[in-house]
Amino acid sequence: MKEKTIILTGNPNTGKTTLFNALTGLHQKTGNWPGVTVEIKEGHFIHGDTRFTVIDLPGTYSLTSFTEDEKIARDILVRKQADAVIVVVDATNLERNMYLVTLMMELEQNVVVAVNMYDLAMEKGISVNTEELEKMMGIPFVRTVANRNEGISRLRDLISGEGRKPKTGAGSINYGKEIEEAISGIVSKLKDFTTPYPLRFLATRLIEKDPEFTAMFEGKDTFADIKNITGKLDREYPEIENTMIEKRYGFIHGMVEECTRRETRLEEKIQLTARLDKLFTHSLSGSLIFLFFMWFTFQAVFTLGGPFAGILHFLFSIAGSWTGKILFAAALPEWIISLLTDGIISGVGAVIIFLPNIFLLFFIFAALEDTGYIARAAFVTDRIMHRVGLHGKSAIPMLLGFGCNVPAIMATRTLETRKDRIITILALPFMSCSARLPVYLLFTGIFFKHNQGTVLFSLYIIGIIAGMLTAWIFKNAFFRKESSHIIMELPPYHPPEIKGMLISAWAKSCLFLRKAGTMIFAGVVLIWFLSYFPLSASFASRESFTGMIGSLLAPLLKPAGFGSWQAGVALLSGLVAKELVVGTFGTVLGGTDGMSAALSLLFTPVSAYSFMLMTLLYVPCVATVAVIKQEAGTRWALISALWSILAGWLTATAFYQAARLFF
Amino acid sequence: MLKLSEAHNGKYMIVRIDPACQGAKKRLTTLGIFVGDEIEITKPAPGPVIFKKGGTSVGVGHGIAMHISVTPSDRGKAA
Repeated sequence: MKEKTIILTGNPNTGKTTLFNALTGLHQKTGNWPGVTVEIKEGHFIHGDTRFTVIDLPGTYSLTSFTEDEKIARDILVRKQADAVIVVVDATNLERNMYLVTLMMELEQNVVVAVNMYDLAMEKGISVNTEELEKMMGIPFVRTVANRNEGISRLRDLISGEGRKPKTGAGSINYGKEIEEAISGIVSKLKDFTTPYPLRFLATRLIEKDPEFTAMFEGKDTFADIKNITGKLDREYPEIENTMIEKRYGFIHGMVEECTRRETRLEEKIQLTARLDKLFTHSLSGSLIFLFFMWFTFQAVFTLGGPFAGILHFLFSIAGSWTGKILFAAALPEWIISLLTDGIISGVGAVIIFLPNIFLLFFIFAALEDTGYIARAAFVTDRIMHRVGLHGKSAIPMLLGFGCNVPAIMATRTLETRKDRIITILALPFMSCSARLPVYLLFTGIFFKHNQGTVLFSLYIIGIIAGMLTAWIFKNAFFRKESSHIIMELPPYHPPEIKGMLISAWAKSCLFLRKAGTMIFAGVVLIWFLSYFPLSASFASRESFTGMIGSLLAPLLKPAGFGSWQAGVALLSGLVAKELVVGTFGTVLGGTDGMSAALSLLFTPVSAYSFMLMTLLYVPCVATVAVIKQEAGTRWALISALWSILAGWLTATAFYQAARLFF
Repeated sequence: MLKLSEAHNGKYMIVRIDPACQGAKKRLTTLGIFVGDEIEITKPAPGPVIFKKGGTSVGVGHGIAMHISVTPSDRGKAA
């Protein structure tokens, strides 16, 4: 079987990821704001006698890299010699999207253009003459509606033919006399130079002062000649980079005008989007709506998820009790019975019962993404974000952080400056991820039965405030002079697709389940082992290894109100994964049933809230620290870990000591 | 001529982007928005300014909007 590689590229928000899913059958997250694909995704499909590997790149507007994810996309597009490139363009906004197509043509790649979301274009009264576009550009075009699988089979056929290299002359841009002369001059100087890139493409990059391509020639004999040519051009066109972009857009404009037809139906939808924008992005109403959505989300997680969590709780209690009886009747050794019932079922069960709440959280976030609201949230928060040294666009990774801090930190690649990335990365661990939710649900269920939603909401708000304060402190300490502003394309509002939301929420819930089956499983087995030994001690007693470790930590935690060894060991295991806090309580306090009674003896409402504050603020998990190291370096990973432990302890202690004066 | 942050709903022409905001200018350019283009403001300040050109709707933070100069377009009505 032959092997071929296809690259999938396109502007953000063109349905590229949906098309990737349609081509490969893989399900992955699709969002409705720029920059959703922060990692390179690969998928496969077989067509005829060929196995195709499809690489889904982060959305990009051009080959000029502003952000880290655009840089990733550009590097792969420029360096990877794929058999073909599929450029996904939004049929409703052809002119802006075709810019990337012209760059791909300059790269002389085998290109197939998927004119996607064609159904929306038709709804808006836009029709695209793809046959005419093919003639003018010399490359194949296919109309697709990826979410309905329309056009996918023809797209596969076209890819099998490896797309088409643009014919000389067809679709090539004439930059005007002076620039064309400069291009020819540079091309003649590069003739003896061995390079994988087309010479005309190289020449345009050098004229546009692309630092990466300029560096390739610096110090070489030809560099002075090239500089001489570009220098002359600079005198003629002081903003040559913009001039080149303008020429490309000029070419595209003429072509799109000829190949598209518009009826006036578009206006109504634009008016609706404008009216909604006025409401959703207004300083006052926008902020109130943003806060309402957050409050509603956490209330819904509780009120709708609670009954389902209760059912799971009941099932795990029965499973634990029956398993114990069956194993006892089978006369298995006592330690096996203890491992299965006290360790695995109690520990893992204590975490899994919160699956319905976590599913709901991701489902609601998927809805907010899908409607296009999240991009607006970035603008709503921009002003306040700026005050503390963050960027409005930081709101997107921060909102993602409520799901999981790890992808959220990777999503900071959509930010344009290193300063914005570092500050956002330092603030992100304070965004209360779903792994912390089981801890809150457990404690609020015991100590704050009548106002669980409000207590939960307060924790999320405190997390946001801690993140903001962190940003403000580090901005003033390390990045005082730097400043950047927000410019973002806003996707139109549309109703969310229930199927897509379910897929997105389920995919993320599966990650939670996988974590429960691996990391949390291993963690609870370890905690069981430490609780079971030495044999001279009773299970999970102060004399067990767990008790000894917890007892070492307890004095440090006493000022914060939770100086028991059980709390100490739970927080220690929470460093691995926050769900393990609950898993550990489940193991050392006698499973889902015994745990609630034991916790109400160990904690008071004040110390319970203090414990939740600590859980909220100290290091989210080792995976988060590892990804901070990967994205920002060891120094920032260490700073983040130490800072969050300190913030957690100080906040919990301050709260407990102050609250004790009143309660 | 007025700042984008001071403009109301309606059609305007972009006349200048502060040279100090080269990053913003480049970002707008890759989105296909140039000096001399006609834009339609759909959501004015306070807060971010949202305008559209063709099928593209772009949001600009208040900080940047203060550095973009526009003039009411002859072809459209601007309040």
